[in-house]
Amino acid sequence: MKLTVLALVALVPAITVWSQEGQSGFDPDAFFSPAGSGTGETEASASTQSARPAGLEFSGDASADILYTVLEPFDESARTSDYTGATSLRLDATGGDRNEAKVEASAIVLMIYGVAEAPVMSFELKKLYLSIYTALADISAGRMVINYGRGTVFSPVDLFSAVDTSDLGLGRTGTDALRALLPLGDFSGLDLVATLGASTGESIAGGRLYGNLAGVDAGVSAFGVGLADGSGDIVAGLDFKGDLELGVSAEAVARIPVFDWHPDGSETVYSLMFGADYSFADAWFIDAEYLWNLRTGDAYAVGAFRSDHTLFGAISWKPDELTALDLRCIAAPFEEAVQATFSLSRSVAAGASIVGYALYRSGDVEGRYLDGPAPSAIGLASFSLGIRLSVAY
Amino acid sequence: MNRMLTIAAALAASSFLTVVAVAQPTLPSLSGEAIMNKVDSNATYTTMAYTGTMEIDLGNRLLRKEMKVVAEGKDTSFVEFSNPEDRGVRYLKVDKDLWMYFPSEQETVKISGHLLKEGMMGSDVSYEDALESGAISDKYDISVVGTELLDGRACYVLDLKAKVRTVNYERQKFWIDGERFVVLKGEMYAKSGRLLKESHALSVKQFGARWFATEVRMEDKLKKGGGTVFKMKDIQFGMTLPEDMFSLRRLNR
Repeated sequence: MKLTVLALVALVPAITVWSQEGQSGFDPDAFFSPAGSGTGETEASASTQSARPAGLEFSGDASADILYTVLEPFDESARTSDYTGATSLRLDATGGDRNEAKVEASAIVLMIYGVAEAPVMSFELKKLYLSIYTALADISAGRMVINYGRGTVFSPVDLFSAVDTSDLGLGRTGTDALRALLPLGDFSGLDLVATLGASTGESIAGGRLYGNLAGVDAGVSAFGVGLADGSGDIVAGLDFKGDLELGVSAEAVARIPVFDWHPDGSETVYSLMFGADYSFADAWFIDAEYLWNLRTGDAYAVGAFRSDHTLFGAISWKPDELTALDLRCIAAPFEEAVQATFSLSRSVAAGASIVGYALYRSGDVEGRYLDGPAPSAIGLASFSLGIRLSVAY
Repeated sequence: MNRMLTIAAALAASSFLTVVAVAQPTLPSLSGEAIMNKVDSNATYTTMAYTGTMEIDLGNRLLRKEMKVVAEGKDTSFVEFSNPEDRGVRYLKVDKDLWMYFPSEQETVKISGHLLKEGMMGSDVSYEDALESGAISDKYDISVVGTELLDGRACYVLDLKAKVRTVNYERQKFWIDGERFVVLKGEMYAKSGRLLKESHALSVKQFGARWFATEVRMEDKLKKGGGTVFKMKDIQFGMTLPEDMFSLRRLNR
């Protein structure tokens, strides 16, 4: 007898084998397409081939922000402040067939008000790639998000698509790449990636072997960064995500400089990330991460955070399914740099939400200017209050 | 006159019998395990696909989630959400492991153990509810505590007490349709005896010789709101699935 006999309650009713059923073909692409469905509430339906999607499917979201920012010094007589506004439209499109070939795009149009006399428009193509699925490999080319990281913010193994910490949703940027995913099992594979279009000094190529062992997701990766002319870096890494009641994750990366095809161990940088997350009372979620960049010479770590020690902490509270409060903080204590975000979001209608947020930033939390003079504005603290209305469609 | 008396007597007898039936309907005597075996055999399948909706009653708002589900046997399923807020979010569940895929960031995340106790997509159904599997008789002592009439259906009432620690609920109580052998109602209790959750089958349909609950209300008694109603439509059984249907490769496509 099976426990989940009661649980049509669940999405995944757990039941045993019904051997009397007829067998019929099943097309996942047709089934998961918007128009796709079965042939009614029948047993052993004959086919689901009828509902293949035609053309592209569109979705996305639109948002409007108003932001008030105060720059250091904060006393009333000396401070500088301004209002800015922004409206954005993200349009996502997918087309094709997930059995054979697919195209996916995501574009963001952003209008910014208040930074110049006239509104400034920007356009970001986050994704535009096509994929071809064969028995041996899934091959993709174009701009895509290549996401290996186990951490919410710190992911030294992520050489391609860094987290945008200025984004309330901690989104990632797209990367122009050619990618081949060779499956080695249902939960394991070899992921080969080469960036497209970058200069030889910036291009990245290599692979990551991943799998699941005893419930732990793990990966080992090796990439060459700018090695086309024999001088660049070798970046080798390990990552895992496991479960000890609380979620635990870790990454270890070594960046070894290479000159004329000879590795130089004296300038190796090791990056170690430890993360833990926990939720309780069906309302609270806590996330903490620590990134340690250990330098043996003068070279700095690769990745978005280059300080020797960087901390991340976040706490979220969802008193109900419509409301969420989030507080998150990134700090590089030895550089006296900190970035904190507090937000309160509320779903106000189906697909629509309103978010009030506060941002505080002081110093170079990413460590972008550790090896050179920082622009004067980087040294100034800023405090912003904003409100955002967004609608998903 | 005699005829009238006979009719009156018959009506009186009928009413009396109805009262007795309401109090305790008569059903064949079966053991708890035998009843659960019939429930299992009634609801078993090799593969299944359906379009589902979850309507989450928050008291002042109704959240609606839409999804398509493909399942194989008792331990494996693939879910893709299609409502605007969650469009393209996918779940892959294989045995006790659960992964989620977020299309915007092309990110696959393995769900941690502590999150399994949380409500799935804000519903009254936890990930643990969805993941729990295994033989009930291995985990619970089952006893038949009686029969009751529920929604006009004669039901066996089963009491299940945990005999191992690795269960989500210390005690459960099931109302099993005595004719169709479908769980019409379930109650899940904590060790303290507190009622944690309640399920209620709102619609039961026949597929071939089998009966299947296609609409179920799940209510988390520790939450405010009116519970989650889960509906299934366009149900298909017995399809031949692609070999990689339940793989990380397909989750990421």
